[in-house]
Amino acid sequence: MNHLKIKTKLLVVCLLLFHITLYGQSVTLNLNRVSVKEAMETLKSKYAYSFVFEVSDVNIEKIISLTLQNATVDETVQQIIQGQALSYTIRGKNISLRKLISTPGVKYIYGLIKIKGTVLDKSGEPIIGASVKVKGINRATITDVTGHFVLQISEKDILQISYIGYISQEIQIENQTELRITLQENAQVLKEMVVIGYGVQKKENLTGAVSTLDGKIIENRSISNMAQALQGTVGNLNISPNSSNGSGDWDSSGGAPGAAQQINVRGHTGFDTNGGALSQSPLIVIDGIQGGDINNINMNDVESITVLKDAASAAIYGSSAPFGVILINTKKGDLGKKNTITYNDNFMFSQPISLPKMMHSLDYAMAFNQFSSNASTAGLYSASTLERIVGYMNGTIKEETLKDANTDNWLSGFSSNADNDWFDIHFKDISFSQLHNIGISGGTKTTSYYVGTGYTDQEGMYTYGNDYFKRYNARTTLRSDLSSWLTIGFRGAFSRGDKDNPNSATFSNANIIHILAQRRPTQPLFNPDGNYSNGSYVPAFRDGGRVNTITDNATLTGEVIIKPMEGWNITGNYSLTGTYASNLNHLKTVYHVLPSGKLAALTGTSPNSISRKFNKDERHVINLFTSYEKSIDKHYFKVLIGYMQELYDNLYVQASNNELYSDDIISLATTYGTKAAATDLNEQIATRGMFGRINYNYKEKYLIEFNGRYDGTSCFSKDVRFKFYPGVSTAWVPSKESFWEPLLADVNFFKIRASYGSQGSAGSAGYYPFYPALRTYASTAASNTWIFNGGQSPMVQFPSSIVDPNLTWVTTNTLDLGADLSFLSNKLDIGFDWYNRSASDYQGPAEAMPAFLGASAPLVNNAAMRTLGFELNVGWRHKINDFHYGVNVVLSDYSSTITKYPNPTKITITGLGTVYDPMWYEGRNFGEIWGFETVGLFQSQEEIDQAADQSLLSAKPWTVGDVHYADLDGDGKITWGGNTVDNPGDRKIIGNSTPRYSFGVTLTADYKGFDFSMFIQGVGKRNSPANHNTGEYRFANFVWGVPRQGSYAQATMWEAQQDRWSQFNTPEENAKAFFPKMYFSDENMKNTYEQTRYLQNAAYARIKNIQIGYNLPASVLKKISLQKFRLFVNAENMGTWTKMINTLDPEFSTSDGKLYPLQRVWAFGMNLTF
Amino acid sequence: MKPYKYLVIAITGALLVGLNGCNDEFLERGPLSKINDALFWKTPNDLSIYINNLYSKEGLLPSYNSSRYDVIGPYTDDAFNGSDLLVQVDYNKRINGETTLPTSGGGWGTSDWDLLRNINYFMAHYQQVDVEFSKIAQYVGEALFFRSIFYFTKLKRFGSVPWASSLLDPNSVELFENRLPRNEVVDSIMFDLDRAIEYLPAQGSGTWTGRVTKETALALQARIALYEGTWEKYHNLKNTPFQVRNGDGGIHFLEKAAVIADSLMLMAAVNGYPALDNIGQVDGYWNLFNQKDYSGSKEVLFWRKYSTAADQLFNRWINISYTGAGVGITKRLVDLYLCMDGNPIYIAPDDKNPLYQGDDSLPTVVSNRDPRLNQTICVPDGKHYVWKPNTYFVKPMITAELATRCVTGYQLYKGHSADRTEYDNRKGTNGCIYFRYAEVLLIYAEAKAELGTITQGDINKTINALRERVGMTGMLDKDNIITDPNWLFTTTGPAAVSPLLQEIRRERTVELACEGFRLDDIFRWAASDELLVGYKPKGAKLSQWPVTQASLPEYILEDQDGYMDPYAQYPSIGNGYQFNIKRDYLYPIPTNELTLNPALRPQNPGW
Repeated sequence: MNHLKIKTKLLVVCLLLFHITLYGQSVTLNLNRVSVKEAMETLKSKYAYSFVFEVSDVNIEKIISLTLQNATVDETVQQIIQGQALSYTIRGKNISLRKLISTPGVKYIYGLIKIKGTVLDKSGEPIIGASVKVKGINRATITDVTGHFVLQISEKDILQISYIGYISQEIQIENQTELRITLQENAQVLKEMVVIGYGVQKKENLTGAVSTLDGKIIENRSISNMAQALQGTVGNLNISPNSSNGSGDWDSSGGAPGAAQQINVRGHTGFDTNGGALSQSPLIVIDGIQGGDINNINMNDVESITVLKDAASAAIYGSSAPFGVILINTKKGDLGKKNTITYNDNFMFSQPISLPKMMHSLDYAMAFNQFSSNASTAGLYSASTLERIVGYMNGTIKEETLKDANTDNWLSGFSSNADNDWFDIHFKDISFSQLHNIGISGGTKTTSYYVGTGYTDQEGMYTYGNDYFKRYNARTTLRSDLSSWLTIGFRGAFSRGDKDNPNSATFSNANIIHILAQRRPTQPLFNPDGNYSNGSYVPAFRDGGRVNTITDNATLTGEVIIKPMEGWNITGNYSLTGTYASNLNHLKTVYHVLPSGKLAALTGTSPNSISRKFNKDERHVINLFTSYEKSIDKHYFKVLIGYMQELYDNLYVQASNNELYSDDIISLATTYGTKAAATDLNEQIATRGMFGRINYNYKEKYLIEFNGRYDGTSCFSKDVRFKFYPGVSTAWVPSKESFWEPLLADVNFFKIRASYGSQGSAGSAGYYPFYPALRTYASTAASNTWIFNGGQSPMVQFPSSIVDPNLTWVTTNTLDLGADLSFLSNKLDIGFDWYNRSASDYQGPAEAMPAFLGASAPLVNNAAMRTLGFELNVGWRHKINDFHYGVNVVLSDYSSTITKYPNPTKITITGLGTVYDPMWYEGRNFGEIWGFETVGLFQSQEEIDQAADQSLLSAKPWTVGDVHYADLDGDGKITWGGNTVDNPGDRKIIGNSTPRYSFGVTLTADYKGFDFSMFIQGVGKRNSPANHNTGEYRFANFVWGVPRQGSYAQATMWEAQQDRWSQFNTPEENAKAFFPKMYFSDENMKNTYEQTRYLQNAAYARIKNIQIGYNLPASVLKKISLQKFRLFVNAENMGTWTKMINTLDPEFSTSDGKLYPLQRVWAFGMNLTF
Repeated sequence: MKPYKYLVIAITGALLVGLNGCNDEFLERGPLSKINDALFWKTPNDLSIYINNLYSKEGLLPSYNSSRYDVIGPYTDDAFNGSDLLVQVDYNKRINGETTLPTSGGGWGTSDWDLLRNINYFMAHYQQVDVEFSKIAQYVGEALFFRSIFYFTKLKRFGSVPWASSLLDPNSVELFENRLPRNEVVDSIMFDLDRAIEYLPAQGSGTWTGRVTKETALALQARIALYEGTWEKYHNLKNTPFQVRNGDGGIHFLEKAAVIADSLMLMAAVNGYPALDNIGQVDGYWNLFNQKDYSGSKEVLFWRKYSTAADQLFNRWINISYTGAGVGITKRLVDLYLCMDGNPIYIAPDDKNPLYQGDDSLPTVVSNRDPRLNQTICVPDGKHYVWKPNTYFVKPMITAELATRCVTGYQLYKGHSADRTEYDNRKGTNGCIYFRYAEVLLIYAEAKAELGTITQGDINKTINALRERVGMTGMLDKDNIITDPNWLFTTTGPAAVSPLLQEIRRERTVELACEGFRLDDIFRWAASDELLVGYKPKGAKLSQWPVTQASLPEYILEDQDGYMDPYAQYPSIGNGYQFNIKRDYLYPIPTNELTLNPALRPQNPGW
């Protein structure tokens, strides 16, 4: 129990160092009957001298009296330690005290040698104030700010070097005169400081649900975005790929180069009125400045990450942080540390994963004709085309298509005979990316700095589109102590993202996965003349112009910290966080070659055009806060109050025109088209708040914290604008109680925590929810379709929907109960939190209003929801000789329920036909999937005759091969009943799409310079409906091939759909077939209702990362003057376990699946420090 | 010690100043790039730019410039809406009784009522403009006109509907009131239109403005009055579930239709506007429907102008009008056209009109027939243009791609634009006609005939004027009508249609063929039992196109008489359309809406 003893020694190290040397400063003090401790504190507060000593050496309770008039420092110290067997050393403002063992006052001993040494930590940073003793005799010193020491000793002596938090070392001197000593960290003992809102806190003294992550965990991941690296590392920090859901910026979805991630803390945060669940993002605070962007930060600049999960911890951010906070702390230089330069690189080779496999042509054409025939419509592939397909597939025909007999066109679509898998064609087998980072840090006695730069070059996966993402990062952190009470700081960060991809306007602005899926395999890649076919999209990808987005992100912070007296800090800072994105969209005219050799412009690409967009997002943040802390005996207090104001300002400007003079000069100024258009949008949100916090603890055993914030926003009208958000959290550490003593050997730390707090959110309110607003349209606006005499006329937009001026804050209340335990000398750590987050005044529709109102009912604060969840973190660390290994398991879960909603009849969905939306009702669980229960596929007419009447679901009669739905309510027919919870007909809840039991498992090991880590992430339980709830084409055709409504134009067929009912199968084959009879008509809907048979199990486990590294040994490093040299190999997305249908990636299961594919990455790189 | 004390004081002071300012302008942020509603409604121009938006609304004035490649503006509406005279590649689901009962939406969703709200928003605010009424009367008139179009659409779809003439909010009692009986809905529309007519300026002989005119409002009022008048009359006579029990059987609406049509005809007589165009011109009838600019027209009262200047301003009719647009005129329509003598093609069941040359080829079909037939369907006579100036129609596109082929062999010529330049640019600018004077003449004749007050003089200035315009020689003589063995409407029973009305309806059908009126006409005449139930559309004789059966796609089929049978491959209409005459005249109200406002009950008949 050695470390426990160490813990009980209080080592006061005060690292206030000044560049003004105060040697010879005179001291004047008059103290009567004070303790040694008080005398020291007085000296410190008045003259800034600090004492460094071990508590066991010095009796600080001893009562002394001092009378000093212009005395020297030596005289002063001598008086303070009067009567104690102590020696002292004065270095700058540090006075170190040592216990005298033998003769005091001996300064030089003859016959000894003078040795010099440096004490460093593992990373090569000097350790200041480390104790260097000669074993067995009373001779000692401490290291200075550069880690150096000098000592007179004999050759036989043994040096003992120790420092709090590090493992002590003994060194045999022999004939060395220069020593370099590296102390190993004693991690268990290090009292970790955790960055929290507006301050720091000892990890041990945390009372809320706060998780921390060391920046090292995300180092060397072969990904371009930091958020991706956080997936699965912190319980209930939910990171998922960005989904475009069929529209929007597809090129930034899924695994696209530079794609952002969706980030959420603790699950559902609300809901919209269309039945959609919201999982909003937490507040990102970078170095104390709210409103940062996690997607653009350079991973290598990050020192540590803190996640504030419960309301009590985040309450200090009030309405800015309704859904948790992620605090990112970047690397900083340390005062007095020598310069360190690190260099990291990573070379990556990516392959797309989970690309669906298309059917071969003949299967495809047969399937298409079969589905047409099922729908009593003419087959789409004619007999002659089928013949050619057979010929092409068996090699007798070499060309993929023919010339049209009547027109100057190549046959395509249903008339050509190729056999192409368009995903294979358009996605590369391998692409190359690289990362490089340089970080330089260090400091003088009064100024510290960190400068980091990074370069990311990510190549996309398109074979012909040449898409890429590049990012350049630069970060500077400077801090300088101008005097003993005044510190100034400056932080600046800049990043530029450069994203470039082919112009999707050439393929109707569609999602590329979506349109590739619609490329029929019979579509030729090459025409007989050897040119790429128009329908292959190769010309469009290659030559159709580019979309380039440059996003600049700049954060500038100036900060002043004043310390009027010990324990009192005043901090003021101003930050500008700006995102400036400029987008250039250039559409080139694409030509393809007709059989006659003539060139024809691709539809929609002539004339060429250009559009520029500029988006400015600025946040001006002012924080002013002051804190005071004081310990009185065993009572500790800290008080913080502050003021914050923020102005968010967004400006968007767009301009476009067509008919560029030349595709080589891409500028609006060189267009001569008549379609010049320009628009802008300018929106602002202003927020002001006052906040405060009080901490109190007694012996670090009983802890309590109060948080509060009074917040106002411009989003609401004056009367309902301000609100106060309180939070309280408390903890008890039974392991510090005396009764715990017997257990201490096994359970060395035990803390239980409870917190309750409120936070505000503007909810779904938007920018100006209480203004009915109109806007003008230019006479040429796209929605302006009427020509009056004299041309189009300007018009105004109709007023926005009905507004409620009383709309106000959504308040969420979170109760959190948690515990932290350490077992077996910290080998095993367990942390657990359970929470209940509820919003009782969520914004819902006034109540379902008759559609006759002609507008959606305004939002009012009338709905309620609750999210329950837990997080469990279990860590195990152990060491067997030189072999260290560790396992860390993170398990978390959440689920949400509507507890109040204006839907008294409990209608479950709106719309039953082609498109339907879920409807909220009291008791509805988020993600709940309603559907029919499937008995199977009808195999005979007798079966149909005997089964319950299915016909109410479709106007068309049921035939063999159709789905047999179960008659759950036993009324002899399959119905929706009243489509309510109480009368659901034959539907029931068949699953839930909420990701349950998310987990992350990290395995680490190292042995003699080699290190290994593996990270597995997954979801334990989740369903994904085979039909997305809304929309015709969404999701459905990645599972079914044929969309719900049976539109052949939207259909695509995967190998997976070969396993289907078919009139050409044997009865045995049909008995085993998975998919039902399909139709190219809306009759297809009858088989594709949500149902148990096609519900997907979207649970998965994925090996996210495996990394093996090798560190060159210290002996070699010394020779080449390096502090560290590590080589590593690394793989991302190595393997996946899932039961999901193979046309969809399980990580895409919430969307239509039409996302940029994720990638498996093979990588290598190095880490260098010198 | 001193310097920082000052700093502390300064910062604390700044803090206090900041906090005192908590409720000041810093937190007052209004829309920066939108107009705050409170600042609007000041000048007549504000009203004008508000109303301008209504002209661009599809729900009021369809623009037909969608990217669909199988629409020739209003000339294919009859096929998409469903009718017996013009059909699509696929059979019409509504006509075949396949409409399903929706829970929401179905033409009764929030977005289906929002235009009413937007119009009423105008009505609730226009008085804030502090000028004399005459300066803004026109815009109020336009709002009332558009409200009438809006309600007419709802009336046709649902029958009785709730009425709101003021701006509703979530607390309005109107949201939970009963539906207004359909005849009262029309009374209310009439009231709105009376005021619109009063407020709107007449075009007279003035210049075209592109805005709604007094004449347009009159034409709309006559159209709606006739619609409701005949609906009530025939649904009552046929005792359908859609009859109006508390009214006068439509009499006052028929009277209104006649009066309003008459007042337009009076204006015509006095001002020379409106009037029929192209009288006596070669291809004058066809040319009426392919003009780019009707600003000089006296017949076209209200129309949409197109332009190639912007994407949303041109239409795409030309893309497919030369291939038949995926629709086909049926044999029934072709058979309706009289011979030049004014008599039908059959004088008695087995007695052909000697002028009638039979159906063996398109040229024989049109020979000796009402000249409008030759100008409505494509005929390979070296005079029907595919492209001007010298590409002529050879044969219908019966084997073209599924979406665009002509499914009956009778390919639409009316509405076809032969401008090759526009085709090559894929940008059509043929104007879209919403109201033309010929309809007014037909309304007048029909209303007067229904009222039993029609004179030969009335017939001469309406029906016969239209025949004269196209050079038809046979005139309608009310006392000398030859019985057509194939009259479409019953001649016996309580709902018997008189020979004169049979001919007036024929004239309407022929003159307004393929202009989107047919389904409304069938419904208001309560004639689905006669025209739709069990009906199978047929086309031209297939044998006239010398192609081997083997080279035709398998889905081009003929019936036992050799006429093209476009839906032979659909078993579901093997016995003809399965229109449910007790249900399918009106759409159902979505069930969720009946739950939200039980006063909307009862549901429409049969649902």
